[in-house]
Amino acid sequence: MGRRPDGVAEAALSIVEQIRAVMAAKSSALIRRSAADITALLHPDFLVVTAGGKAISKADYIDVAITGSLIYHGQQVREIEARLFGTTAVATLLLDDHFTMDGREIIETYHALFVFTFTDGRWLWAGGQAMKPRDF
Amino acid sequence: MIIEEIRAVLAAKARALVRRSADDMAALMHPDFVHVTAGGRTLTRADYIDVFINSDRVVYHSQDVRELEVHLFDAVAVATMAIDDRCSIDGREITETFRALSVYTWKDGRWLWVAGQTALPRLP
Repeated sequence: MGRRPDGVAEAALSIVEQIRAVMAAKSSALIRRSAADITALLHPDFLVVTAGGKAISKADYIDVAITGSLIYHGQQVREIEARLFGTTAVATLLLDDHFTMDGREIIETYHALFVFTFTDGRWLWAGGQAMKPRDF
Repeated sequence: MIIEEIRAVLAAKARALVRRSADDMAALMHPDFVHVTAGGRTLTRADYIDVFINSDRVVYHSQDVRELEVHLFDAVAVATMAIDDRCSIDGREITETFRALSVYTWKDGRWLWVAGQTALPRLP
């Protein structure tokens, strides 16, 4: 992690691996309920839309996912694809989540579109949206 | 203001959907565009235009954007919004409000839509 994303040649695979590392660090922070570790991974202007459709800030996210009633037991990331736009990476991925919310155990797969920005030599999670697909 | 510039791109996108103009829609989108539909399908720019413009399956009557919020990261804007869609899918009339996140990049003096995801909110 931490290489500057210039150099198209190795970019595609390299960016995916760097984003995977950020996601692994995020999952680890969630399970350990480490507000300090998750804070370090999130951009100050972080903005995410939850599967319930709520747009939340960095402070809100930490309140909900670390110090709140949501308790993560596991989070696996699959099928990461990343596209680079300058110093910003846009990734699509699947999240296999295992958590407890208000005492209810939830095991779900979410589709996510996440945005990362390269700031001060490392990737920060800037925002995104996770959702459970619906049929029409 | 950035939010008004993004609102203008969203209005142009809604017009392109309703008029079924593949050219106008393509002009708004980055070549590396990626979109995740509310059904969980990942679409490229060509896929998106095929599904929402060229195909007879989906016909848009209107699309209105509310609750737009935009955050700027260098030359990339991340926007969240509520989208009121009125369309028909396979002949069935659909009126739904989606939550969406869209990403735009500033290129050659204008904002291009580079990525997005729409969702029907569902609590776990």
